[in-house]
Amino acid sequence: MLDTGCCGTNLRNDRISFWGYFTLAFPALIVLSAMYPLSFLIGSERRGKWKTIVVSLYEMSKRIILVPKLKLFISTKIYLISPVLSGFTFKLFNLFWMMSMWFLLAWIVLTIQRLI
Amino acid sequence: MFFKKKLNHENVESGDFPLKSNHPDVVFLDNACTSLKPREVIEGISSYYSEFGSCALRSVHKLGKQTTTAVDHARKKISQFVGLKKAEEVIFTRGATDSINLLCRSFQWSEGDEVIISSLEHNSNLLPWIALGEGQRVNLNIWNIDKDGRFDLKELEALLSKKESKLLSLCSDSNIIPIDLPLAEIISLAHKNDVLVHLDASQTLLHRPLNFNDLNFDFMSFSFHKILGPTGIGALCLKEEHYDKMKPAILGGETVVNVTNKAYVLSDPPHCYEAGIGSYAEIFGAVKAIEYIEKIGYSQIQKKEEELSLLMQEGLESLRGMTFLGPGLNSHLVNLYLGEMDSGELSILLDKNYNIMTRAGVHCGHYWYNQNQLNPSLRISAAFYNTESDIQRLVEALQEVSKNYL
Repeated sequence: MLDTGCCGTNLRNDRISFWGYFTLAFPALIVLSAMYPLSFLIGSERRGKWKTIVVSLYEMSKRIILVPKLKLFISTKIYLISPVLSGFTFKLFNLFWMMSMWFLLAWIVLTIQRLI
Repeated sequence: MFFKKKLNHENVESGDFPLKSNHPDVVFLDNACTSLKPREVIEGISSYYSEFGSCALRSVHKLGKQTTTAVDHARKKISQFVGLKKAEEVIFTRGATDSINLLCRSFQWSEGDEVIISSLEHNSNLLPWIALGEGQRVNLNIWNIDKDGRFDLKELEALLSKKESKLLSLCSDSNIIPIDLPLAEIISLAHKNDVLVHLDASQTLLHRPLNFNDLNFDFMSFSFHKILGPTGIGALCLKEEHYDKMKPAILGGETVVNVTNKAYVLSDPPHCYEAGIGSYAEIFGAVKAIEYIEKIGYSQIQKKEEELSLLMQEGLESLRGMTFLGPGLNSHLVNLYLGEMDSGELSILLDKNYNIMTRAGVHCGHYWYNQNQLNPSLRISAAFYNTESDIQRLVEALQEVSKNYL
């Protein structure tokens, strides 16, 4: 949790479960984003819905509390170089972190397979 | 420049607040938590240790007598500040929380008595009453104030008209949202129903006067650290006749005039409510805080805070992603959300990137946030010693955060 004292910054009632997002929403976001060019084949109305889902999944990622101190530490250090880059880091930190965890998981699985 | 008006700060000297001089880059907008301290207050605290250094009421040597005289003078000064007739109507406490606990535990309750508070109270004016209900047969009724600051006086009147209702304990101003309670009407309603009124004035006295003469309430609590004074000192002020309804809950040094192995004789109030050695240095500082407020004058304070409120309103209302808690922006206190951003993260970004001190969380108002299913929020609270430049920096910072971080 954030180091902000006793005053209940950790009492958000719209938090999203990390494991739920990591195992379901995040893979869906990656797949739907990667396949987005295909949406041009299915008509503008469906493309609109596709985009809404992708944006919603992305916005959901911001509600996950995932190593917040590290996120703020990195963002505030980058701010000294570029406010825009700092904002970019802040917004995409959770996605980057989850992507790294998926790569790590994949590497572990592949390594185990190779060893077997 | 997006501001239309220039501020007038001729009464507040730039060097009045050492913290501002020592941290010229800091914008302090957490004044609802605690106020900055003028130089006179800091010197007042120091003067006790360097010039008095003795115990009041106990020692007959000249330093002790001087301390007693100074503490008596402080009590008189505070009683005048809140519109009381006698110095004896002021009990020194450790702060508003201590004052409310003292009232709660010293009042002589009868079985079935009921206390009314609002849903917007700070935990310090909620938890003591909940705890009282656990230990004794005193019930707590909560008058609802919704997330937009709306309330129904008829609902309050219905609670007050119950024959069991004994005390109404309300904040005169909230630390969560700006709210303008019709205190005169509420107090009149309470008294019509033989209900006593206690006001938690912690969030009021830095910004406007509140006194017993004008509003005829019965008890008042406040902390000096919120009105330019030191931490660790507050007061429970009450009309003298209400001492008859109380009995000291905490006993010790200077609370009694005689003791046998089975009984004791209490000192006269307020001394019987001030067990143990007093916070003399803090009392010295508290008097200086009142003197400083009187020097500036509430009319000047209110004028400056209205100007600051207007600047905040102009700067914040059109920002992307901004939503406000409570009735609106027209106040020195603003409580807000910036998009979906976590209030704690926003507060830290404002601190680390922009040197702006704000407060995030539920502001010791857990009950109100839970009742209204609200997320923790960011509170910005200005005071008369903030400047146009402070507000400008805040608005520019929030603009940048809104643009880059949302």
